[in-house]
Amino acid sequence: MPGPPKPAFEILEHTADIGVRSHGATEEEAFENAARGLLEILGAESSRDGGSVETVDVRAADREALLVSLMDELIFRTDSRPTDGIARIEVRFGGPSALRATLRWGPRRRSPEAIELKAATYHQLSVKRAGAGWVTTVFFDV
Amino acid sequence: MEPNRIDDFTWEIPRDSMPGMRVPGVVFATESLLRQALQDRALEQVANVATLPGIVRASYALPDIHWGYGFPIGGVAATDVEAGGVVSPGGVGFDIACGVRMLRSDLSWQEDVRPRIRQLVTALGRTVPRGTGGGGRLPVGGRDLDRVLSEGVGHPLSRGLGVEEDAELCEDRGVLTEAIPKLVSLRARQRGGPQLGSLGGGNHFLEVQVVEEVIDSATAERLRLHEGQVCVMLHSGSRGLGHQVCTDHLREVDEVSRALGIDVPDRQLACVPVEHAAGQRYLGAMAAAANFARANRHILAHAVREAFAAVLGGRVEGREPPYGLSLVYDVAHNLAKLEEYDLDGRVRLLCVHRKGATRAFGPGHRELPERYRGTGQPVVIPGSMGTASYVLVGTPTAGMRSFSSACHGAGRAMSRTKAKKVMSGKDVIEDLEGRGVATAASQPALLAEEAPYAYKDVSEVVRACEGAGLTRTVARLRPVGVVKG
Repeated sequence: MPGPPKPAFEILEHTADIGVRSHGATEEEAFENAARGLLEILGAESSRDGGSVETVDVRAADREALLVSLMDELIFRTDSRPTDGIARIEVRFGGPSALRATLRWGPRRRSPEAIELKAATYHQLSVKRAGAGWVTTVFFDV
Repeated sequence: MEPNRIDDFTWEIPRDSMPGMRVPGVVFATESLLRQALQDRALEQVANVATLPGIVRASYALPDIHWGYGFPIGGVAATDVEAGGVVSPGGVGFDIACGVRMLRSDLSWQEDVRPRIRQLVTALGRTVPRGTGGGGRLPVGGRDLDRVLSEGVGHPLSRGLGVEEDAELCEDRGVLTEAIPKLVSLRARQRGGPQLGSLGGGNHFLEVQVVEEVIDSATAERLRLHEGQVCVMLHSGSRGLGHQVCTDHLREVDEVSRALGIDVPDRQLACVPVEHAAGQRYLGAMAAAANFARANRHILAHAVREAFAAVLGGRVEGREPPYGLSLVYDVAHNLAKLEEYDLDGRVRLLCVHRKGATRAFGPGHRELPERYRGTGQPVVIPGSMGTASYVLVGTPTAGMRSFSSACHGAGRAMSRTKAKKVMSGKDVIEDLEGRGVATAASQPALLAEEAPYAYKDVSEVVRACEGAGLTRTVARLRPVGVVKG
């Protein structure tokens, strides 16, 4: 019997900082869900994707570093567009150390609990198979 | 991991506690603070740091230690440069040269400021940009930004902000001359340039305080502090510029470190020898970001003087702005610095990483400003919002005990999520106001994350630092106004 469905992402507690654990049927979906967790923390989501569409190419040494680089890209891009939010994100891998993310922007949904994150860290970073799916873990510096 | 007791304030994590440790871990704490540190993964991180190539004496933890990423917060590690010692960007962190600037004044709390504290906190809230997003008071780009990166507080001084003494009483006289601005990426410039002169969010703050008790009157006199006097403490760093410098160089160091076969137990500890080109590039960019952080706090201090003048101007009998608002000291608590220490009878150049730890030079150190040569370096310790803060000075024994390092604050004891479950932001504001602390918060919903109960007891942290011989306590202050990001 399969267990209860995994949430797309969960926010992880840390004494000073904050983390995200994401789940996905595919590795790409797990990366997309990690991005959703990050955007929720940043308060940089949008309910409508009528705005611009942006593609971002990311390269890094390996899958784990690729996750950190994608998170850092999102921190930088949402910081640069303070009135816009991301409604949807699609991730496609282009080999073991590259990905293309498609960001669909819209008006930012204001959150009273939005926090500024400095960066994604390599601390306890992981991208792993879990049963039939994938799970990622990444912590951020608040 | 159960450390061995050495004395009432010192605990040792033996070198054989974990494979790969090159030196033991040493934790400075009371037994109660040690028990708190054992509740998260901080001591495991002290042991992880002990594996860094070239580390000497010990991986140190200060009494406010808590779980960080890679290094613990409140961690100190010194590596021997000539012996292939490494520099680790994770040992400095993303908020490069985040630190505290303290101003003293000629104003009396009871007579001059108390009747107008509400207006003053409102004015400070308006004058000091803070919170997420938004620009700073002196946004810069292009050549002006290059000047900030190479000159530190010299740049805002040249624009007529502040006075020369502000540079004299800042760590490194406000500038690290080894900065290499061209190593600061375009992205770091885009992220941070517009934010120069802003406080930021998270645990960054500005407090109006009153000196409640002078403990060492001779030193307090030298620091121009007395009971009943109004002071200001502000805590901020290098904003998005520093964060991006760390991100950029951590990526390079991670790749080079793997190519060199340096094995570390946590990838965030990625490191390269100080003398490797990647290490030199990081240190050059880090110094530029540190100059940005000092300039940032310098501009914020100018904003504080403006707010005091706007509210009190013409209303304080016999005195004029800026009411003696001048620096006690400005010191960082996230930095790696090359410092000389005597190791087994030989003077060695060490790369001293302080992550959530304050440099605390003892009396006579040649890098101290003349005013503090006799007293030792002021160490400014903000408490958690609404509780006491302290001014300490470095001791002659701090060099031997902790590479001249002391605590940096109270130290978190509770996660942000848990803290928000205890009280709402609105309740925290009511509680602070009830205790006589006027409060301005740009995001009240987040205030509970920084509530006093989320932190350790700062008085016990300070007592442990003094007990361990790292600092001497000079004065205790209490907050009367809080401005939060």
